[in-house]
Amino acid sequence: MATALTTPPRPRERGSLWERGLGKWIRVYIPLLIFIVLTLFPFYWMTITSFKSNTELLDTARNPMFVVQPTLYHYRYLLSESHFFQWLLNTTIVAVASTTISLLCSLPAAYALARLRFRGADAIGWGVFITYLVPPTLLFLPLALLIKTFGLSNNLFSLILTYPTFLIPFATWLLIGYFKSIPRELEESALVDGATRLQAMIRVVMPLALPGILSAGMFAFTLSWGEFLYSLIFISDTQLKTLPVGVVQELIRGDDFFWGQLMAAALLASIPVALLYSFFVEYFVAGMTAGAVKG
Amino acid sequence: MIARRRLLAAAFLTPALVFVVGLIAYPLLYEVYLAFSDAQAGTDGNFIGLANFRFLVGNAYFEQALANTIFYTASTTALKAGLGLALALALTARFRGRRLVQALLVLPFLFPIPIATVAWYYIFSNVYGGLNYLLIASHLVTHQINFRGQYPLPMAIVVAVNVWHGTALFALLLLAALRTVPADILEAAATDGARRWQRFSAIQLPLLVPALVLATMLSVVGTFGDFAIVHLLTDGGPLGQTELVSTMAYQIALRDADLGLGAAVALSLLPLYAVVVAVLVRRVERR
Repeated sequence: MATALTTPPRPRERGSLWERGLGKWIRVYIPLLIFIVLTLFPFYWMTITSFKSNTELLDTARNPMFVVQPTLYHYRYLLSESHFFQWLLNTTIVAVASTTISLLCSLPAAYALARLRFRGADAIGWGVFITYLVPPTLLFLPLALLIKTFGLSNNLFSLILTYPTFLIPFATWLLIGYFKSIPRELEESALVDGATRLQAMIRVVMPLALPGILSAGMFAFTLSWGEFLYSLIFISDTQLKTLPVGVVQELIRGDDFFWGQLMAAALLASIPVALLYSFFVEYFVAGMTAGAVKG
Repeated sequence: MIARRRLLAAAFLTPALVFVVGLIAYPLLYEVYLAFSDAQAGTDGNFIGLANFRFLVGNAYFEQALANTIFYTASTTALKAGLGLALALALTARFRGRRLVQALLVLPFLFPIPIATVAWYYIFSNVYGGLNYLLIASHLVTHQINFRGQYPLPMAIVVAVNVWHGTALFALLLLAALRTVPADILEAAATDGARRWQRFSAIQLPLLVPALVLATMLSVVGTFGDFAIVHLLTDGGPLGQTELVSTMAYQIALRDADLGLGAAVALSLLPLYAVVVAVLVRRVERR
């Protein structure tokens, strides 16, 4: 009874049956169910395909929605006969290196643009924002020629150096917003206490900016992991390909699609990114929105 | 003190600016030069003035690619915004398993899109495709549908895959913005007799604008320059129905080795892009 006195009465809803029961089904559960089915169907399809035998895959008389005799054949083939591990390694190297380079470049840049008052800061900030809007479609051709000139064709460095072109502007822009959301006073009191700018930045601002940094890093890693155009153009050796290009080029030969292996590869290729998000998704959203709202 | 701060700022900005100037600004200028030349793969080419652009003006295939790019960007962004908003609103309700549902719905966004596109290619394929099986088994159609061949389905499936991939980002950002709306304000409005729609348009929607602008920007930038989905799903076909400026530039520059014309095609995006950028920048600036 005590709670009835202290908590305010629930807002009166029109027609309680409608609002609480049927209404919620129509507004929440049914739309979500449709979303989930449409969202997950490709994953279901990948999973069942990856466990089907080749005879089952090619049997049009059968219901393709279920696996009758699951087999690990495609996974075994993928891991032993294809260059899957090599591609996985290449993709990891490229994604980690380009994400690290991008963060190392955009962290100080964003800090300078958000915090150090100097002439031209705004202009440079807008410049960075606008370069973020230059799509790879505009850059692939001159970059391909530059890569050739520098003798970097067929070299993972061609990707490690070019991925930051679409990562740095975005990461910088996001981090500027995040730095601005951290109260200046915290840093100023550290400066008054005798810390240098650099110490204040590293000890006071960086720890507070961690969600923003993680968020920028995750976005950068995800984009590098799934990048297609540059990887397709700059790399031609099977051994040096990244996962997205290796999988679609080497497991599709002409009109022959190795569906079982393709789908097994698709599932395995997404595990690292899925793991990353399962641990940090809250940071990701927090960082993105802080950058957006206060940017 | 001011001099030291300027020095620090310069030191902090240099690494990023090296990339921005060396690998974005310089290549763009290089591309402008190429667009005014007759460069082929392997040769530097000569200055030929506006010849490449003159060739494109009035070229039906190019105009189709340009129109397709605009349609593709606008329709996918609108669909992602609408569906993402619906999804975000549904996810503000309290129910068991909400976190799991949220995690599942984010999967397409983090899945490498080229690889997901190949799975969709399979689902949409004629003979062994899952979608045709489902449609026939449920008696919605009597014959297999040629998704990649029959107008206007090729463009529709390209749009569908993009929306499948990108809706989650809209939903995530909008949901985070919705969570900043204090629940007691909504409840107070409800007790004062505000209808659901009034509560949404007067309280929630204004707070969603920044997140909506950010998501729209990410979507426009990503879709304008999108290449993988079309390249892998339809390769611009049939007869250019799904050709985008990006896939056309790739075809001309790398398959036909005509670098000058390819550069001109790619650069044709720039004026359009400038308009979109100007609108978004003003929107961002006003905050």
